[in-house]
Amino acid sequence: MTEVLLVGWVFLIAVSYKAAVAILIKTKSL
Amino acid sequence: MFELDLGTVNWARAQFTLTAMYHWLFVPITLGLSFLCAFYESIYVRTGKEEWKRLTKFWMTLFGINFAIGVATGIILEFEFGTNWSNYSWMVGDIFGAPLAIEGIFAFFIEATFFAVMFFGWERTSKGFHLFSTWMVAIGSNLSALWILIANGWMQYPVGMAFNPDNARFEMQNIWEVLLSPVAVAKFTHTTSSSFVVGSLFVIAVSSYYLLKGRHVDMAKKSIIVATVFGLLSSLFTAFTGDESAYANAYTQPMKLAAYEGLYTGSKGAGIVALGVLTSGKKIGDGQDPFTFEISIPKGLSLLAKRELNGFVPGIEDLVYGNKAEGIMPVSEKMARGKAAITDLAAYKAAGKAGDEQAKTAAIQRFKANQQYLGFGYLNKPEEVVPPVASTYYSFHFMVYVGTFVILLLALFLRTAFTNKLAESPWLLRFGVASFFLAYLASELGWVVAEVGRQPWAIQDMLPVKMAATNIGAGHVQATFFIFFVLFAVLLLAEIKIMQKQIKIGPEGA
Repeated sequence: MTEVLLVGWVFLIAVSYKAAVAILIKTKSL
Repeated sequence: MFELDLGTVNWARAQFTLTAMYHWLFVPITLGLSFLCAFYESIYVRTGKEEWKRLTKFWMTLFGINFAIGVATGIILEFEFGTNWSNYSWMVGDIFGAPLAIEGIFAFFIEATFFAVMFFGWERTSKGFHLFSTWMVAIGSNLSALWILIANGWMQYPVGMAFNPDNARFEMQNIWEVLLSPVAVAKFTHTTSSSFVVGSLFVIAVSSYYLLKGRHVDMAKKSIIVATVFGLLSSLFTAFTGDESAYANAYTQPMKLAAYEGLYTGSKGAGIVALGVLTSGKKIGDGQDPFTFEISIPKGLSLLAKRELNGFVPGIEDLVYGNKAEGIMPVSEKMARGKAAITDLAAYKAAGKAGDEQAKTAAIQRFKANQQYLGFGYLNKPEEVVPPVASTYYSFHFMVYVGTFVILLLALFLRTAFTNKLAESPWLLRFGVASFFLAYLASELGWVVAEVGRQPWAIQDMLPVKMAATNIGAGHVQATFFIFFVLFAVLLLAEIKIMQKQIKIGPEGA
């Protein structure tokens, strides 16, 4: 489970950035 | 038996509490805002638009104000291990000191080096290198947290070491066990992701304030969108890692779990109290109902702690008085074995001094049979192993309520941002400002659960707090407590003033 948590943590940061950019594009705020 | 003056111990406790909780006013914003600054600058580099650069510099300015005091108070904490907790440092410095030293010479140096580039390198370095520096500050800050939380995780679940009877110290045997302990990893991911939520709510609070005032509207909306996405995903991850932390507690610190769930009598298929008021004056073994009012979810605690509906979850009374059917040894027996271990350790040392090898070998064999109960030998009565239940229980439940509320609030923020109606939602924006302070409080209370719930131990089942402090007069600690109190109050007021001034100036002044 420790691996899942650590990989999940890295994914959290990467996915947050990707999702934020996608929503900025979608709302024409970029 | 040698025992420290409780006045000294409690003043040392108070001083550490003051410093740690004050330090924690700055850390969550550092951890969360550092990544948000990296996100904002990445968008600037991607788009090349000046408005994103201005926005990034504004949040970096607020990050810098917060960072300075956070560092200063963190250093005080490390010194307190030497001044107020020297017995602790003596006994476990070999293990506890390693992650603290790595944090200083590795993670903090990364932060400090790239922090300078991040602040003063805008016109002196390339866009790419500046962006790299900002990411390194974020990664370095979180690596700092990693090493500190590994050290704290080891206090909750001591692994990877052996006791050396010749110098009465615990010594490192396997650093990987310490670094990758399930408690340390759960603690790191839970603490940092919850700090991402606090950092995101800081951005949302300041931006909501701007939108309510009708100032910097475009910048505030952009800031909110990025912070809301980061905050919402982080709050969901925090719930997941919080569940993992509780699951780890069930095996490594069952007393802490029982305290924050208000569970006095263990059972199979134990329910979880979703909402409840503890009976005031409730004492262990007094037969009173622990709750004056409660709403429980049947079998919920067994599912959380054992991952099965009918798993047995021990209560406070099982853990103190023992439960033969479930194989739980009573504390009184652990104390007897611990006291025998202390006696055998003294006999081992005496035989060594006298040069009696036969007696030395016999003493160490007897000692090793009871070594794991050594810490219990310093307790005076079995009930001492029960932490303050009310503060642990209420802190935990408040933290969970706020966590749930924040998930819903951020989902609402995201929906409103998506439909571009943020500026027309004053009530939501007011909640955005207020929720930051609520999340702050929940974050502090998380540490209350972790540390108060571990009492009376400095190191779980190994070293009681009352044996860990430095044997100096309470007056010394008292004096520095009040000096720190005044100093911290002045620093906090100064920080709030500078922060307010910078927020009033806004991104134009960044």
